[in-house]
Amino acid sequence: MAATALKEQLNGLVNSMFAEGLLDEQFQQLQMLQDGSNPGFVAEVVTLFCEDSERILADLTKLMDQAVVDYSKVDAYVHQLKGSSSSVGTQNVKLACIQFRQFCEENNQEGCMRALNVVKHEYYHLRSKFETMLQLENRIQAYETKQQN
Amino acid sequence: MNSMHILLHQPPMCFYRHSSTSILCPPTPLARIWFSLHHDSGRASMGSTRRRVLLVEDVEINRVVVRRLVSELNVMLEEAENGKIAVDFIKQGRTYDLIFMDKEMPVMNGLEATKQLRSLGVTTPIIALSGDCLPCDRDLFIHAGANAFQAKPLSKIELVRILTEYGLSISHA
Repeated sequence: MAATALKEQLNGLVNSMFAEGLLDEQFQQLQMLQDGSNPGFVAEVVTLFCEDSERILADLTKLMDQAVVDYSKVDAYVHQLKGSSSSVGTQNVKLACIQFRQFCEENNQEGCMRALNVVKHEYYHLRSKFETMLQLENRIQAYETKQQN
Repeated sequence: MNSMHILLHQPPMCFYRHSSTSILCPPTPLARIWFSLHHDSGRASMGSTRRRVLLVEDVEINRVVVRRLVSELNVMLEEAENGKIAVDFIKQGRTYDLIFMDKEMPVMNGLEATKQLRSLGVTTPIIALSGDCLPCDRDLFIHAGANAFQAKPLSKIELVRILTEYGLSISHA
């Protein structure tokens, strides 16, 4: 498939992610920071975000499984995830974290459990889109490298 | 050395001083002359000296993004993962023209780090950063000694505005 068609497919995917509320204007800021001198910047940030998020979600699951939940620790992790999702522009994950923190403040175990499930749902939905996005970027780059050679 | 030479060679912000009412005042004429005599030799122009900025932030992604934002500007960025590391940097004798200080961090948070830096006599402008823009957070930080409070994430426009406001050169690297 020609690079142009791949780029159209990539643009369509990213646009749909904005339309769906998965991404916000902060992601556009990251896209603008990617250029010839930093061609893999978005991929680097997305990959780092996914690695961090999965680590945090695993830790949150363990904390919420405890007989006595330490809400300050839970809140600290959620705050971290909220911060990184805000920096990357992953809007729905950020909003889910904001809701989660409110339940943490109330020491509401049931609310926190539900909120954790929402965050997980939003994150894994986003991750599948990011995986497709990065695959398309890699294919475009491979095609363009081949063309240059 | 004429007056224009002195005026063109702006000392870094650490030469600025707090008045008795905690308002940041420009350096005295004597301080500016001293700076010009001791620091400006060999510099072709004001824009050739890179300003030093310290980013105190525990979340790696946030540091990666700011690092990239700053890479296009004529600024040297150092990073500290928490407030204690930032305080230790200062105790080691490192100096900065501007400090970005995150609020919530492990080991030592931004509020405590700001208080400790001010108690050490550091007059470098400190810009507090937080994802929560609550007025009480802002007030706490200003009371601790921060110069300003900025919402995260930091955009390029906001970064350039802050660097310009605090006298850091923003000519592109």
